[in-house]
Amino acid sequence: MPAKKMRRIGVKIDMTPMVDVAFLLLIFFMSTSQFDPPQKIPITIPDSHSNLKVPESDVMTIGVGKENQILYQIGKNPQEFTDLANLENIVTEQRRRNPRLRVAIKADKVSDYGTMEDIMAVMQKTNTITFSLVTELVTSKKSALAH
Amino acid sequence: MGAVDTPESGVKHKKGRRRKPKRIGVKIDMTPMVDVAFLLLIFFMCTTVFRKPQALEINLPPDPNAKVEIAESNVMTLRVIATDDSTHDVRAFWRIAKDPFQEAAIDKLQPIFEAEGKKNPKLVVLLKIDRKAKYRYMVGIIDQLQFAELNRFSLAPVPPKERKDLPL
Repeated sequence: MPAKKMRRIGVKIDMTPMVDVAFLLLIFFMSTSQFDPPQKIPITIPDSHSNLKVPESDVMTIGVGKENQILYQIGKNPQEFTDLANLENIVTEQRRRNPRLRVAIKADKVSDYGTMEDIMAVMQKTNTITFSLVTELVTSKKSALAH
Repeated sequence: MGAVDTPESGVKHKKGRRRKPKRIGVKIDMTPMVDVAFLLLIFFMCTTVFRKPQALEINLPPDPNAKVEIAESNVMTLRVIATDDSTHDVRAFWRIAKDPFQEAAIDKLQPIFEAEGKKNPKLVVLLKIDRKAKYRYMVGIIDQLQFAELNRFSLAPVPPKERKDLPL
């Protein structure tokens, strides 16, 4: 007797493993996500090959926008606009409050070098001699300026 | 979709009785919950960015007024001038000691740095950038210097009178 194929009626697919995996992924993404604090102005950071990590704690971020506006942000607090003269007071004040404070400068790639020069002068004045410039990592061997 | 079954027992409740029937074999429809779970999953997957920004570390000299004496032959001067129009373009000129300035493409300085660094391991780079030049050029040059392992450099703006030395 030829094995006649039975017509499959009412196939039930067990969805349990798929749902399990979906929940696992959901929990993973929920626990690893960190929401960026809202940005007052969009900043496009330049590229470099440096692969040092930006410090995560005790950090003060100085932002420079496209139009050379200066912002600062202490830890995860909201950003505030400021100017160069004020920046010096803020850095001094924050460094007195927290001697382990590290400064990261996040400047837009089309901001003027002059602004950076002024900020570096402030760093020098406030004796913050080590700081980081936040950049986007490029892995290609090509120059970071070729992008 | 996913549903929870409890094994059904063969007990049938009798008709005509007021007593609440024992709930056996309750089926919970999991579909809405799974829908929400997938929605959240897709949301988190789309919004998560794994890439953390990296940093270029800068160390300033502790004393701004300290003078460091360097033999002139060990000094490489690099000047970056913003062209006056609004094209955001820059031109880079470099020289060793008092040689005449040579122009180089801003993104192709690394071979020069490497060659000069090999010739003279004591080389110090004096980097002067126009205040109007874009910040990305500064990062790009520092990046190329670090690639060429020239970690001793100084950074300053270009004074107007030094523009005249350049073969513009």
